[in-house]
Order: sequence, then structure tokens, then C-alpha cells
Amino acid sequence: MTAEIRMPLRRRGRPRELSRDTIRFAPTWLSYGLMIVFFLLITLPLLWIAMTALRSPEAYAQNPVGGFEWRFSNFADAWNTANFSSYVPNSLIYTGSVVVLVVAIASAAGYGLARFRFPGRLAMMLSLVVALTVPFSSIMFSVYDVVQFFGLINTRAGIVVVAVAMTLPFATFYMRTFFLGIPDELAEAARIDGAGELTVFFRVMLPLARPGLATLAVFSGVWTWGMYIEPLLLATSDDLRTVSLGLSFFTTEFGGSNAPLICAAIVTIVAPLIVVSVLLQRRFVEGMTNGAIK
Amino acid sequence: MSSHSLAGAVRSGAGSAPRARKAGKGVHRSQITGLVFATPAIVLVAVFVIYPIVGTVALSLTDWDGFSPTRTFVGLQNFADILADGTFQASVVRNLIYIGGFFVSVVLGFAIAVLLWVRPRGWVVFRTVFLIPEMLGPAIVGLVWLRLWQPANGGLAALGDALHIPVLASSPLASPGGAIWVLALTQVWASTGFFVVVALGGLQSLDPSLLDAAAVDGAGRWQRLRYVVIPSMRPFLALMTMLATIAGLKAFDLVWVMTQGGPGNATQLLGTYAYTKAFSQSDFGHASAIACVMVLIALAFTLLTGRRNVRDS
Repeated sequence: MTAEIRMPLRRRGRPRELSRDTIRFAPTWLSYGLMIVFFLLITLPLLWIAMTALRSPEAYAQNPVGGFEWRFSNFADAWNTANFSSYVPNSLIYTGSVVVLVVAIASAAGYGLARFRFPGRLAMMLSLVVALTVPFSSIMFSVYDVVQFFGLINTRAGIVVVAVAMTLPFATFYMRTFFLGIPDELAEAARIDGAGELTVFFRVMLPLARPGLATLAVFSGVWTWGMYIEPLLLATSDDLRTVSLGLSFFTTEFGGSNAPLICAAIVTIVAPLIVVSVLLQRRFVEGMTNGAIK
Repeated sequence: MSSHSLAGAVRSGAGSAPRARKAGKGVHRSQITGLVFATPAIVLVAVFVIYPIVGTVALSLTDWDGFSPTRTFVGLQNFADILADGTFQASVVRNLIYIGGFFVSVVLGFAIAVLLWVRPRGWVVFRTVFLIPEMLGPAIVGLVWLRLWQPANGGLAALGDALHIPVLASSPLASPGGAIWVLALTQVWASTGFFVVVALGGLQSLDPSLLDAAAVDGAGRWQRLRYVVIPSMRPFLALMTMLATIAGLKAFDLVWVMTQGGPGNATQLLGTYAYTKAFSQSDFGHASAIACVMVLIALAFTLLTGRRNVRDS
């Protein structure tokens, strides 16, 4: 206690220094100690998977935790046994289509709901709020019915359209918030100069919303890439499975017999994801903090 | 869909009401334009989300095997059945345990965020690593941990044998009593990083001079945390708790890849139990009744948070 009381007196006149000290809630060594513990808790399981991916099934059966080899053939085997050459393009196609559609549709809707008042606007906002909280697993049987009605069961289009619809509530609110932050005077000035509504949207508002569009693209991309239950429900064909879904079926098939093979498959999928997540994390974090504050 | 789909949207509903009122004052502006812009999104959401809610309610009043052309109307019988169903009751309890896992994530995430607040050297590395599970998504996280918890020859069972830790060696994922706790623990691993980032965002909005004032008044570390930081972060903690609850209600992917609700029905949550009822037991009526209960809980939460947002603004 005494130390804490004396400290601010000693540093009087240097408010910035004070703030840095007053938001320090643990000694540096303790903070680092805890951070390193959490760091290891996250990384060790992944490292174990990577280590196992390089071992032979026989060596693994003898001792799952110790031992090290360089058996890269597991990766080739995993790639050839699992249908990755169809899962990876599938996930890329789903992710690409969903990102483009969500960004396009949600930016239009976000702008419309932010800047105009029209009949039915409140009802629309309300249905978006409801759609935001409803778990997919609670409406999936009826979603299946609807997708079947359109003849889209076992098609890529069916999976994409459902993923888009499930992402839109968040995406629309996110873009609406973004457009609310852009001064309306800019649009007014363009209108006074004779610009039509489409010109205002495409030439004035959208360019200003570019950071929001980028963040939204990252969010919807990450979610769609990890999508599992939608293709599980809507596609029975192995050719339509996503990476997560395909990997899970692959695990069920080979899980008991060949752990290193499964781990090689997991590494094949997870390693690029980690690289991408390091590259995108700033955008991701910005999106989360902005979205949560505004 | 991940849990964070709510983070921005819930807030955006709160802060923007006064500004939205101003939006109507524009000159030379056709208000119908707004309708045109909003229509594609609304149509998709109405057809693929809102209508299915109604459809689920309708389905829950029938007896249907998923194949036959006839759906017999049975009134509220399905609801009476599931309320009396022991597995359903246990699923509710397990879903609460699972939500508890998310709450642990909230507390841990907040604590880590407080420690990262001073931005110690290298903090971006920690933040990046903590976010990896979020980037992998729940299904991949489940598959990673399934390798570790695998009863037959998983990594943790072997580690438990080697180090003589009976809890690990006994393969709790395969035991009816232990499996749900393993899943909840895995969920903590999966979601803590997300809450670190949300809480960091909240802390950034807090004015540090409040803490300086408290320090000048003689408040120690614990007192500053207890009487300044936590009270000012209350809206954020409420938001995080709400996100955790909804995410726990939505939980499916991670549980499904790890146990498919087994062993037996020992890890059925509401979502997985509904799925099992429908697709393993061809009982869409009861499955939809369970789904309706989930919808009701979700809607109740929307109402509660909606009211809080109105009060906040």
C-alpha cells in the first residue's frame, strides 16, 4: 500500500507515466509468467500434433508422447487418402462466393438502413436482430425444407446461399454502423451537384467505407472457411464437403488405426490457416474492437 | 456461425438511434431508395432464417419421420414428450455446464486483457497466438483435441500414464461422467482468445486518468481494479456474458466432431440432441420441439439485451 501511495507523489507532473503505472495490475514477471503459461497451453497441443504428423504409426503406438522422426511421407499419404483435392477447392469456392455476396449485399443494406427512413424499416431491423441470435441448429430442419423447395440440396449454390443468409444479419449491422460514422454532408453535397442515388452510393459512400468492407471480408471469410454444420446438413456428397467437414469424416474413418496420418491431415489444413491468421490478425482485431465499441 | 457475430451488431443497435433519426432530413432524397438497397438482404434473411423459424414451430406440432408425405398434426404433444424426456432434461443441464465453459473463457479473457493492457513488450505475439483457436474454427479445434483426448491411444492418455496422472490416464472423454467436462474445457481453450480481444477493445475505451485519480487518492492495485476498472467495464462484461450465453446455446460443431453426443447420450447438448433425434431417429417432430425451445431461449435473450441497450442509450 505505502509503495502505491508514494509512487504518484514522486511522479507528480508526469501524468503519462502515471497512467502507464496505474494500468499495471501485476508485477512484470508475473504478467510474463502467466502469458507464457497461456502461450504454451495454446501452442503445445498444436506442436504435439505437428510432431506426431512426422512419426510412423508403429512408433506412435509404442509411445504416443515421446519420440521424433522425419517421416514426411505421411503428408503425401494424407493428401492422397483424404479427398483434399476436392475439399480445398470447395472451401475456396464457398469462402470466395460468400465473401463477395455478403460484402455486396450487406453494404447495400447497411447503407439503406443507416441513411433512409422508409415503410417497413423497423420491421426489417427487428427481423435482423432476431436472425442474429437464432442458432442455426435450431432452424436447420426447416432450412433443409426451404433449400429442398428451391431444388438446391446437394449443390454448392444451396450451401452458399444459406451461409450468406446466416452471415447477413451481423454483416448488415456492421456496415450500418460503419455508414452511420460517415458524415451525411458528403452525400448531400454530391446530390446537390446532381448525382443520382446510385452514384452517391458507389462513388461517394462505398470508397469511404473501404476499411469496413475489408474487415467484413476477413470476418465472413474466416467464418465460412470454418463452416461445418451447414454442409453437413445440406450436402451428402463427399465432393461438396468443406475442409473442416471432410477432415472430420476422414478422422472418423481412420481415427483409431493411424493417428500420424490424421495428424498429417490436420497439419496440412491448420498450418496455412495459422499463417493466414498471423497475416490477417490486425484487421481481425480492429474489426472486433471497433465493432464492439461503436 | 461463430459467437462473435453479435459483438458489433448489438452495440450498433444501441449507440446509433439518435443519429438514425437525423437520416430522414435529407434533401432531394427518395426514401424508397433505402428500401431498394435493403431488399436483397432482407429477402434472403426472411426466406432462409425468419421463415424457417416459423417452419420449425409448425414442424414441432406434427409427427413426421422426415420421409413420408404426410405430417400428422399432434398439437403440443411433442413438447409434453420432450419435457418428460430424461435425456432432454439432462441436455439442458449439460448445455448449462457448456455455457459455464464459455463463462470461464470470459473471466480468463478479461483477466488476460487486464494484464496485456500496459502492452508489455511482445504483447502482439501473445495476442496473435491467443487468437489462433478462433481462426481455426470450432470444428478444427475439436479435431485437434480429439487427437489429444482419444481414449485408445491419444496423447493425453499416454501422458497421464507416463506421469501417473489418473484423471488423464483414465480417458475421461470416453466416460459418461467425464466427457462433458472435457468438452467444456476444450471450449475454454477455443474461446478465451476471442474474449481477450473483446475485453482489450473495452479497456481501450476506458479513460486511464480515472485510474490516475484513484491512485492519487491512494487506491492500490486491487482497489483500482475492483472499484474503477470493473464498474466502468460493466457494459462490456455484460456484452461478453451475453455473447457467451448465446454461443453456448449455439454450440454444435466442436461437440459433434469430438463425440457426436456420445458416449451414449452423455454429451448431448440441445443442438446435437435435436440433430440426433431428427437424423438418427427420424423423429423430426420431437427434434423441432427441442429446436423451438432453443429459439425461445434465443428470443428471450434478444428481448433482454434489447431492453438493456435501450436503457443504456
